[in-house]
Amino acid sequence: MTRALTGGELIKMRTDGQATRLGMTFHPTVIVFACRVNGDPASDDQIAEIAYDTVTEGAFGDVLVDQTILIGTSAGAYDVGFCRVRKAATDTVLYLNEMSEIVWSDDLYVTVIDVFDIWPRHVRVTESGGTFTTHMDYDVVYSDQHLNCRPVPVLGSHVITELVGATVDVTCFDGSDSYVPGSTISAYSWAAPGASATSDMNTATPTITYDAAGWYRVACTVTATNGKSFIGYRRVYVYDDAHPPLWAFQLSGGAQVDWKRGGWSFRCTVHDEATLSEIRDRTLVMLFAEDFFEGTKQAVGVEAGRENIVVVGWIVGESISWNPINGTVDFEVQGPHWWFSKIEGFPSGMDDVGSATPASWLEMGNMTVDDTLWHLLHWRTTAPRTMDILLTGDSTSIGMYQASSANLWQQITAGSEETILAHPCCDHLARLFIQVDSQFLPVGDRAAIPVVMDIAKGDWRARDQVRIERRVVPVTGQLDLSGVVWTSATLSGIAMFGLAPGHVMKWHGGIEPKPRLALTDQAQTNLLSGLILGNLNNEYPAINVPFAMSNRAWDVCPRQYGRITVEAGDTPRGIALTDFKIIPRRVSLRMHEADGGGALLPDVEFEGYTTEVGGITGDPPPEPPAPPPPPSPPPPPLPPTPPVGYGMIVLSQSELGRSMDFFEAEDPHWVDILGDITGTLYNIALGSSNQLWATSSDGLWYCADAAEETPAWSCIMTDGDAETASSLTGHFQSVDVDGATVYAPWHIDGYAGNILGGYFTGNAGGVNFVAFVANNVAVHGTAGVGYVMDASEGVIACSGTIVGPTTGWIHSIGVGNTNFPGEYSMVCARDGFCEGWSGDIYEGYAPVGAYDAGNYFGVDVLDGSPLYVDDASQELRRATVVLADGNAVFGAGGVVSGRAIYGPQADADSIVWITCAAVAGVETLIVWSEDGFANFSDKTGDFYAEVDHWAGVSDAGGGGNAAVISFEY
Amino acid sequence: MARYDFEIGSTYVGLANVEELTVPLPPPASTYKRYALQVDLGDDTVRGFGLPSGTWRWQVLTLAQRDQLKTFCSGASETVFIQTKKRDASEVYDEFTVVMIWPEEEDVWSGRARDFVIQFRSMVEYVP
Repeated sequence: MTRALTGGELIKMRTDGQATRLGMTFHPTVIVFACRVNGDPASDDQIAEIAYDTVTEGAFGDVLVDQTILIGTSAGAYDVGFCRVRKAATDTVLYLNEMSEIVWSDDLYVTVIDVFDIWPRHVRVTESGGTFTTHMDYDVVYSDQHLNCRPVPVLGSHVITELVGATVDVTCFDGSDSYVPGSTISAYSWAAPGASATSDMNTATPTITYDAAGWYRVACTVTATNGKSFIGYRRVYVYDDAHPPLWAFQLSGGAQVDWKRGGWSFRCTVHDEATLSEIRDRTLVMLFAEDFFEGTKQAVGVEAGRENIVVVGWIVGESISWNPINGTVDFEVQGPHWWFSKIEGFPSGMDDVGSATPASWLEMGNMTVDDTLWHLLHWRTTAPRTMDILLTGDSTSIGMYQASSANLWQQITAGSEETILAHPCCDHLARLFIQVDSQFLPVGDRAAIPVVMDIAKGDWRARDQVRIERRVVPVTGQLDLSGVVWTSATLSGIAMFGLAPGHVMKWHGGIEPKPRLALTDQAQTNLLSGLILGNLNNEYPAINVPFAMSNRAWDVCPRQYGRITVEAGDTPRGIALTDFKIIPRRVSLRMHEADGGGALLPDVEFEGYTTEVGGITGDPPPEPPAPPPPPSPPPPPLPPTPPVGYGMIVLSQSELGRSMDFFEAEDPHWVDILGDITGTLYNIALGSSNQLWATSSDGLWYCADAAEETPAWSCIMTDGDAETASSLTGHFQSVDVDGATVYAPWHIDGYAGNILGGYFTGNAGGVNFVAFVANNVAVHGTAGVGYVMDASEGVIACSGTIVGPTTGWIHSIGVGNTNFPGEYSMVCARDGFCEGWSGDIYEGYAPVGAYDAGNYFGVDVLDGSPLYVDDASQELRRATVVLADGNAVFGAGGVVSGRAIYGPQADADSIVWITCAAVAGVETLIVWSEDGFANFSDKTGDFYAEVDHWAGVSDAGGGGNAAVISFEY
Repeated sequence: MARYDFEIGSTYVGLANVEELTVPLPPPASTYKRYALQVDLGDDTVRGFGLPSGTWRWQVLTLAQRDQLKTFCSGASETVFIQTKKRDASEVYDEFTVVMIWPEEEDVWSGRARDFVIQFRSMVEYVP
């Protein structure tokens, strides 16, 4: 690519008699195929193919992909437009790059010419059924293009050679630098139409011989081991005395290149010649030189076989003088960088998929910057057809690549500079090099960069003088670098931070951030920080050397150095530089002429060599403050909550009181809910859904909701209804006690005309349970036997077991389920005794002791122990022995043993009732006395807390005629 | 018999002594400049650039002689072959391909061209 000039070459360049004769040649328009448009497309928008007929020259098989098509209103004209062959033509259709700029019409002249320019390949996205498909170059869908990549031919640039004798050999094509991502090159196949002889055409370095002047196309098919191949085309221009190039022109202002700008350009003034009108717009131009050293024509340069080429470019504009006799044209010629900058790149992006198989245009395995550049250049342009493209060779992994909508040069620049500090640049042979700048390479890696020459004082023109710009104040005080070390194997990245010179910035200069680099490790991060800082504060940013030698080895790419030694006595400032490497950044070639002769001499602006300045591990940026929490949404409106609480209902023989705040308030509020109930009240019972039943001497009463503000009572069974109830179920009369029919509990007839002692309860253990007292026998129903208590119709069915035989009146029944797991325990209070059942009839038990002597009212079960009221002693007693089994009651000895838990009170009122209520999950015992209800009630569990009387029921009660329930609402 | 060896021809094989042309010319007074320009170098030396140039000068030519020269340069300039003295101080002649420049102005008086000067540029020694 480039190299140090040899001693012999330098001797020639340092001797008298160097001369340059500039020549120029324009690529001619060679017609491959000519035809006419067949038909007029319905629309000129998004045309990608065109039908043709009337072939006047060539055959469609001669048409090569990416050749140029001229569209005109006359044969060979391009006044309507240009386009490109997108893929192989058929016998009726030419496939074009998708476009909208040509106004098509039938019979337009179509001329395919043997020209391969730099064209964009557009991206097209189609949608079908909600699925989007990306196509490259109009219709190339992804299959395996990122897995088995196409190779890139690197063949060397075009060639200009002089035919002096009978033949001339061209031996400078060399395909060995061709490459392919993820594979290797396996074969070369050269073709050289028009050559008089060829050899080694299946090697990287063919020999092609010509025996006549003219322009020739050379093709090389490069094949990779992955099976993919790609053809590159180059040109050979052969001239002789009889077929000379253009000698008569002026190189206006010289030819120049700027490393930052990225490529070469020149302007030339061409005098009126017959061939000027034949020069096609945008045509390939080669500026070349015949060089003379010591008065002898010879080629001296670093590019073997191409030493004579000054600049390769394409016409991008012209200035024409209006002079029919002696007119001139100023052509502006630019290198490939200019054309890339004129191609608008579609937004591009790719993700690394590591070792997985890329499945779309957006994926690449084990992705590097070179992979992304390959995609951009190969799939978004036709550049690899016609020029060498050499990538960075950097193997740093990157996780993702994104290019916003910009021109292709900007995309290439951003994709390389902002990741690995590589810079794209085209040399004078129109080869694109994307290389990490030498200033950002570790010093140890710079050894391979050639020093083109050591510049001596005799190498530059004294009149123009060498100027050394020296920076004495840093422009950058601190370099703040960050990036990611990406691991393809795990598809994960680690952030790296570097600082140079360190945490404290230099005395002068601002802070320069350098974010988002692709890095390899922390050591490299630190080194890179120092290298960038060193370069930004380059002490010698510009050293301009006006060379006095015909030396065209200088270029801004590929990487190269010059080297100078400045002795202290050489400058007024006493600056001494010894073997100081300098890097060419700008080159200008100008003809220095007199008396019609001269030489093309370079003026080169170099940049001084820099190394790292500091470089340490940087600090991760502080976590950004947490964003303020978003304002809380207004709480949803609460659903209306039903009132929750526990109420209490008590009764005397004539009054039914309800308090909704009995358990909360010190002074409960009572209301009378007797309503329509008539007769002497006996008892109340609560259903599972707060249904309320009450028994009176007139019947059985039902209320749907005990918590209703004004409970509505209805009489659901009255005296004489037993038959009705019985008829509903057929069970009442089938209850058998020792073979005798007993009546339903609410059957009044025959039992003193009332339902004295009638009692029922429900919802024991989650199962509706009914127990009732009828005369002197008790009946309770159990699960499985069959019992139903309908809420609104009272007891409509019951079958169960008769409790008895017993003697005396049963006054009350208490129901619990704690003592008899699986059953429903009952205790029964009757005259002279208190008994318990486990579901079976207790027989033969003879109560003894104190417990025979009196009436007992109110029984219940609390915490597993039966409670009862000893009317005679006015004591509330609690059995000390838990009911043990199905037959035992109150103690192993058959004697109910118990103790008073609530003794006689001062007013000597009789305790008339107790009840146990579950209040907020706590069993609570409520006790009250005869004279005023609730003289002694407990709602706290210690049995001694006293609550006020129910003001509405005073001294109205009678023994055994009171009941109390609590309910939840 | 020619006295000097100044030759000219449109081709190398056509080189002919100016004194022996169809219309013979007198031998010219010639100059030879080795370099088109000299450049002062940073080490105080000088380097010559550009191909050699030279002139042939005649005090007087007849119009016929002038027209004889014109046959080698029909336009303002023409590439021709010449043989001329390389150094004035010696009698060494060399063959060159040159660009022959016809004088911009001609001083023709009384049927004669006076002080007639032909310039030669881009003189490249020719080695057949």
